Amino acid sequence: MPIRMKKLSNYWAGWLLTLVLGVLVFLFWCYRYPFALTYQEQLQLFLFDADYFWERLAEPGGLARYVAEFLVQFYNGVAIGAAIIAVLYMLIQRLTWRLMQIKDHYILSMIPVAMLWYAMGDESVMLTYAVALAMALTVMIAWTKLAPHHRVIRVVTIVVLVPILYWLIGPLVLMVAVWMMPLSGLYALALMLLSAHHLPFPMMRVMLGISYYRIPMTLPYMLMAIPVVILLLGWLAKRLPEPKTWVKYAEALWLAVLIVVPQQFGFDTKKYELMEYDYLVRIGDWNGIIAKAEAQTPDLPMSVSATNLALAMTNQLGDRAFDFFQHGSEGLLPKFERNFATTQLTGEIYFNLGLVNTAQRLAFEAMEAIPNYNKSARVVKRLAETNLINGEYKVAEKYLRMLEKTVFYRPWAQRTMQLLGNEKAINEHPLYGTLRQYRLQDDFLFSDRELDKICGQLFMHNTSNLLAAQYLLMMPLMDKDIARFMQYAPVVQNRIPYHPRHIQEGIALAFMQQRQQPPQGILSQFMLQQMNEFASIYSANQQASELNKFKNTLWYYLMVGK
Amino acid sequence: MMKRINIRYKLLAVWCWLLAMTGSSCSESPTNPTLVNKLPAIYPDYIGVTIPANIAPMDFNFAEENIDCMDVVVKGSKGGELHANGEWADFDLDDWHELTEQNAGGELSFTVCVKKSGQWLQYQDFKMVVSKYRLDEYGVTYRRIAPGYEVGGDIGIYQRDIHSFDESAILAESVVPGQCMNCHVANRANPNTFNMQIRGEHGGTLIYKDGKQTYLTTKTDSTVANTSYSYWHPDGNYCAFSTNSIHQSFFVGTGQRIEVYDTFSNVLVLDTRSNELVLCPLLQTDDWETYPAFSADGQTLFYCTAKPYRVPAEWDKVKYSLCKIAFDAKTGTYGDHVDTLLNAQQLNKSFTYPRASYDGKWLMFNVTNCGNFPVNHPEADLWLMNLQTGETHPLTGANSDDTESFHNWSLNSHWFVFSSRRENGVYSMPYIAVIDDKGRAGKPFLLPQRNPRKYYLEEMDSYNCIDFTEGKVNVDAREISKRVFDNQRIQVKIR
Repeated sequence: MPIRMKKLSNYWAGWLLTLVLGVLVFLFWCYRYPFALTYQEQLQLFLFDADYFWERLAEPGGLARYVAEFLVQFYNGVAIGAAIIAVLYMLIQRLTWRLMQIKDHYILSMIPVAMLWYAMGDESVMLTYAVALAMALTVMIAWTKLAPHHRVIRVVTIVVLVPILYWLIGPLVLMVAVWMMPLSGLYALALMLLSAHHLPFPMMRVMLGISYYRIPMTLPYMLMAIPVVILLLGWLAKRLPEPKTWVKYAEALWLAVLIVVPQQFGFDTKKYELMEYDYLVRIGDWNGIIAKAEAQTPDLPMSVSATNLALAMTNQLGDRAFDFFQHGSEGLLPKFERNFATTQLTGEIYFNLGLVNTAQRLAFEAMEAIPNYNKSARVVKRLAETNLINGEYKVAEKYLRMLEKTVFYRPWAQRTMQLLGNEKAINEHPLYGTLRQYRLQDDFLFSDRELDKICGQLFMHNTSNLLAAQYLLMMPLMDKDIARFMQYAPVVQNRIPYHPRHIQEGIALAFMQQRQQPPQGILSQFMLQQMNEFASIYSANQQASELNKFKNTLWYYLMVGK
Repeated sequence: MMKRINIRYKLLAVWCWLLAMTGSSCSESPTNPTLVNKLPAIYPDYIGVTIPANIAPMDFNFAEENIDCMDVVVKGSKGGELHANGEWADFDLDDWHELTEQNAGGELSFTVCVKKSGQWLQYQDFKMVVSKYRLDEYGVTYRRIAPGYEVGGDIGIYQRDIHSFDESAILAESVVPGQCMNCHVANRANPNTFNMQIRGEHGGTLIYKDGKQTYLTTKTDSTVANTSYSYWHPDGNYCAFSTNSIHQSFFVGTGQRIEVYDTFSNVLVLDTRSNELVLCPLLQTDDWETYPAFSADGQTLFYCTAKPYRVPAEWDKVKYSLCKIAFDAKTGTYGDHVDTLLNAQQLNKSFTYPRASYDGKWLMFNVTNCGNFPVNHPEADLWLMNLQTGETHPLTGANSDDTESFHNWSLNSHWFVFSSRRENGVYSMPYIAVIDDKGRAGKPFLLPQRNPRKYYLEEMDSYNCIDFTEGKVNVDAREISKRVFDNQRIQVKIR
């Protein structure tokens, strides 16, 4: 092959590899962990606004953060979000490659991206880091090509450029400074220390990057290692001999291991599963949640709560609750925890129950629980909704006007703005109107020790609130309190025809424990037969394997299940 | 080549045209305006407010957003004129100061013209009164806190120059991450003497005097909790505190959202020279004593007290009376009896948060239906007691249908600052009002901002514990951070 042809072929092979990387990254985020993207999006409120820009620019790394937040707002469209990450990764890889400046060892240029990919398995790693990295690499390449030759001008340029760049991209400037002139690394370090003295942040936070990681004063080692690896690559690549074919294969294999293996360890599948549940709850895809739970039984408090909510929203909780793992009434209404994800999910349950004030309170709590104190578009939307339902139009308008400055929430905000003050329209709204009717009118204090009673109040206030009815009856059952259940069952059944399977199982068990026959017509013949069969097997052997066929019954949950 | 140049010129021309359009979109003067027989609807509602000379420019927006342009001419009753033209009324700082100084004791008349759909409209003129009373304090201090209830979030204690728009952090959450800061309480607006409570894992009481930070653990075997609400004795040596066990419960219904209550509380005084607590049996009873505040001369300690009830179940039965007891700073001793100024049971109201004016004439306090945390009570109003006669009256001019709370006096006792939820019922916002010799409040004004609608629309924090500060608070926040996290605290003793 002529040399020119070979060069051309190498050129396109490189691009092809980059493209393969991009496609892999895209597929990974789009299909394997799409909900990681929607999770990220809800932890910010990007406003198209000059003040927002200047606010971001008021701290080191501000431009990178602004650009990253601008990009993250598109994560609501998962495919767009995945494409953004893919392009960013490709950009970083190509820039690394350009920095290495040798045609071979192309695969080595993918190492930093592979490391970044692994690191981003941690949902607290902000896109800011990736954006800052791309910016830093761009400056390094520009410096390589355009750096002044005169030593004094070179030093003066560094003296001017490094602080500006530090302010724009944050501590990754250290990598750039070392690249420009090793000694200028000390200059960058001194600048960072100096800024830490004046900025309203602890020194550790400034040194690790104010917005590279969502949790202040923390930065994963992998993110610290990436600049070191890039500098090593830049330095090493020039010194590496022309690789033999087997070396290229070895590099490719190493990269494959570097990409594939860490994806298995870097990504906490359980955590991402919860993100999916949360997203499905957020968009009200109840059947999606149930399908997901059917595929793999949820066993974490958050996923159990989401599944129970989905069952209740589709009026199946009384029939199917014990088809899934249950662990007490906290699976229905979880206790308050000081973190965004669980607080927001719990708030969704209260919202759908009609406890609008409680949902609003948890929305406030959720927003304040975001570790980097960002605001959340999802929360602001919920605050607008709760205030709209409560008729607090002025404050609802405040939130809607903020959402009008966003890309994705703007149409919704504009539509909802039309509802402000329009009592008729709100009352007729399928969700807001219903929740208005569900709301309790009498003020009394919320108690998380009496959630069943609150559900009882909700049901008594509006007997069409089937969610409250289901939660009211299932709560004592999940707490294994048959006596309390038997107090609540008539309250519901005297008002609405509600005889799902688990309720019948509970009634049957209660009468059996009292050694009484249930009144005729309350329980089906089939249910009585099942009860008798379970009782006879259980009384013979409490560990009998035949009991397994009752696994999805209340009886099994109460008497056999651990 | 010619073609390329032509395109370049065309682009330049378009750019110039756009620039000209942008520049001219809102800089023209009103021509043949149509007179409108009503006052302009402006935000904030500054119509008829009383302001001090030298306050920051009272910039305002037209309430209706879809306008082309706004033109405002301000004329002083004692002379001077000012003009603002643009998307909102944005006055030049120096010109504004000059105009208000020139018209102290007079009035400013505002002529507002608005261009809507290409048509200029001129509204009725409105006035602002420039008070003869000065307000020369540097600014105000406050805590900004989002309406979260259990998660601390991004709390910060800030100060704002009331003569300009400058705001700076005294202590932001970012400096002491994860720690909850309770309010900064200064001694008579003195920027060099204040205390602050830090809650959480690294909790403690910070006493700051003339650049020296002292961190105390204020719970002892004889007192039931760490100190909470506080008020300095005018001599700067003593500081009165309450020790409370504070809880909160949330309402399910459609009205009030939250009730904050104590399950016990007492009042005591800390001698900041020796870090000793001075107790008094009359303030350490089984009743709930709270919100201590010294009189202007320091000889009287006002406080609030309620009979205990089973809370939260009986939250609405808890009502606080307003009481006082003598205090002798020379000997550090209390009087031997308590006087009840306002009896909660008889009047069926709750009286809290007393703040005596520095001229010794007035006592401002909150009146609510029950409880001790007025900021969460929509019915909370400000009242005034004449300390010579004991007569009380509501500050009608300053109160609204929603919450007023967290009030404090200016050093000359002719201004007071407070927070109110009148704007939207959720966010407490900072207001300043004048008070005359007869204890009548003028119409309060919302703390000015450069672009008030945008600022307050996007503000997600409430302002609480607002007070004036005579000068700028210059505290080393980094030192606070270091000292908070080193956990070294001085254990106070009982005298």
